[in-house]
Amino acid sequence: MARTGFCDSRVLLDRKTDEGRFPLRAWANACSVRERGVLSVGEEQKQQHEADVTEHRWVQQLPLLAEDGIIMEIAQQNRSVVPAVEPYEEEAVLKHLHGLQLGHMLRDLVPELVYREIERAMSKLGLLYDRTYTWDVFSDMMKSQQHLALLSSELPKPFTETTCAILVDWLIQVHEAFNFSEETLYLAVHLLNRVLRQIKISISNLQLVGVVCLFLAAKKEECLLPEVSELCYLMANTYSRKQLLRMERRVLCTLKFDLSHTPPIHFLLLSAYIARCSEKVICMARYLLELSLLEAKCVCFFPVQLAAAALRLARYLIQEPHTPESEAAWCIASTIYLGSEATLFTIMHIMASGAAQAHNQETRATFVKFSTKETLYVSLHPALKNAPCLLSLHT
Amino acid sequence: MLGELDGVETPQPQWFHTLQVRRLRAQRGRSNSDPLGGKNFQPEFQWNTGLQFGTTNSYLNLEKLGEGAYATVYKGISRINGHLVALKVIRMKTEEGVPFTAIREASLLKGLKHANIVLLHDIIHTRESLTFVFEYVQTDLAQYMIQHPGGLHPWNVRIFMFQLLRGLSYIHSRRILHRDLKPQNLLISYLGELKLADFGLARSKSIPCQTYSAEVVTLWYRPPDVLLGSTDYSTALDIWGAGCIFIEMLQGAPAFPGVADVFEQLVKIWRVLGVPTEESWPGVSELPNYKTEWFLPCKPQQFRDVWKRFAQLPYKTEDLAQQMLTMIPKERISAQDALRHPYFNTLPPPVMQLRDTVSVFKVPGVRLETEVSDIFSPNRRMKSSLVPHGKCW
Repeated sequence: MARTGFCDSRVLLDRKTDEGRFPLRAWANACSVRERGVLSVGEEQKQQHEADVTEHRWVQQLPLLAEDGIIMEIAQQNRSVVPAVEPYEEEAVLKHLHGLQLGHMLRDLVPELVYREIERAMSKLGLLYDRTYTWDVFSDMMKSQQHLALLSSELPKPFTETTCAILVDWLIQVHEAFNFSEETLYLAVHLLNRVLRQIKISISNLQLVGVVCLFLAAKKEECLLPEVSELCYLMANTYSRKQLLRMERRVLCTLKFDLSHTPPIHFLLLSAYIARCSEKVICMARYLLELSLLEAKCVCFFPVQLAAAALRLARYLIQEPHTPESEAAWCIASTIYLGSEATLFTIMHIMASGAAQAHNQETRATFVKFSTKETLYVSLHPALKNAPCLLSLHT
Repeated sequence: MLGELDGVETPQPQWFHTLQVRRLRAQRGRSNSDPLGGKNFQPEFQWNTGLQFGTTNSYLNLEKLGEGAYATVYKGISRINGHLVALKVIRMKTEEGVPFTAIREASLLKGLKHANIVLLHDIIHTRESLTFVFEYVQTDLAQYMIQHPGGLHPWNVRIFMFQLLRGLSYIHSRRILHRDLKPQNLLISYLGELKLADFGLARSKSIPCQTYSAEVVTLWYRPPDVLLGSTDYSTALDIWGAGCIFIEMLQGAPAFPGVADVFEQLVKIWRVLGVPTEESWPGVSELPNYKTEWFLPCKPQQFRDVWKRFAQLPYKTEDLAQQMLTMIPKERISAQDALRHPYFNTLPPPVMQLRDTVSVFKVPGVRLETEVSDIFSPNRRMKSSLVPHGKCW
């Protein structure tokens, strides 16, 4: 049935999956204080271990390229979904009933005020078609980011963080030239990060992979698509159209056609709307969030974490007079988060040092983009230069 | 899938086609309805566990089912496990790579696992073509209605509607609109399982890109707000289509069969629901295609006066139809609420609590009734005992 938010019985009842999952703070708050998840050292180590295991799995799953076709494993995963003839699964139904009740409880545990704020914000932002489905859509957004999360921020051999940052910086410029939506950029970089960690790419093909990821993201999100020849022209015709299309095929097979992604910008706008942030704070947060695309260390964080960190840092940087109303609104907005305070501050520190360096880096596209009048000159804000110090004061 | 084949004549009805093949094989050596009869596939037909998914030679094309705008659909068989499959072969535009419709469809379907959504088994990607391997479903609602003219059995309509709304509720709660509902896109299995197919036009919505191309829904199933030029699409778009299909199943004829253009289509709707005014529908006069002088004043009518079948059925049937075919999109019932409508009270209660991937036919007491037209032609009668519970079904 539709109401399956987080209430899928398998997820909730299976202790194994539960361990790796951070409780959503809104629910944690609603339940009890001790439910609130602060990542202990032991857990972090365990996560590291899990990451290692998954890496090994990727090595095994490298897709084989054959001359006539490219092998994919979707169906092998699906095989269990097509059982011969199941008997009436009373047990499963009962189990699910149990799960359903839990699901309703989860929904009921979220304070009505938070729920109504989320609903208002989502319909305002056009993330909803119908208020009936607020909870489903919201919990689907929350759940889907775990599905494709990258567990390790490490890059495969020939690439360094700098090479990737240069590529992403160039992609940001191309993206801007085509006037694409922000989602497209976040999707493109997400795809790029996934591809680089799954197949072996030679350094000479790196730019090609980047463009192909942007092209695929545009095919998924945009109404107007660039032509292949235009893309080749942008790369100074280093690669032929044939090469580009062949790479597209390779990338699609690597990703197994799964291009779903919840962009962090959605979470950012959602929280910012609930917190009634000013234009300037939102713009600053967008700037910080976009800068995080250049940081290789940021790839293993969930979109919701990146968004929350960007917004929080933006609020520190742009000190606005706090009223009781704005504090209350911020309080509600900050419940939309998944993870520990420690993680949040880790990300904020990465963002702060990135932002402090942004003006004298080689990768300046984002800096330039956010230094115009339309973007309220946020990247030129004086507080950014000593953002790391400012942040240390707060912690 | 079959849904691709708008207006394309398929050579023969697909209904129970394969079952007949089984029965007739002893008597007939070779026939067009028996794709295996003529050739000896024995040596190739060893289910080969060494074969892998994702390669062309893992599947055998049996026959062409039809041709659509950007794809050709074949019936095929998997050489790995013997499952019947539908192969949707997408022509690759050499200019621009993989068509964006294919990318969106595959990406969406990979995230959707539901008993009432067609299942994507596999994707084969070669230099020349892109093939989606779907589960094989015997027929679609359009053909089912052709084979059972004069309206379907009310009980079966209830089961079909429940499944349709269940599928819609699932995709709507994932921010996905189907946007192209019509009987050809609703596949029906031998048991009566209904599956939504053809998600080429669907896409999950993101914030900035709200301009969709205008020509998406087949005119007959388009809601008045879209016909009037509104581009503010929502889940109500699919609900209107489902409501039209509801009436078509009961009545045996399309609810609003317009012929020529948007305006004729609108007049068909006004004849039943009345001409909207600024009082009855605030904001209607601001829609691009709204022109007062074109519409003769019509009064809203009772559904039972327009579609006679409603008069023979309990009032709740008409009530549900009325709530689905409400003029103002915001007031149209949602799929989730429609599932809780008293109309479905006669179904066994466990159907409300099924897991996503469990079909409603797993609940005891849910089975299709024999259609009236089948009583007179017993060969086509649906008897579940006749159907072997084999894998390939």
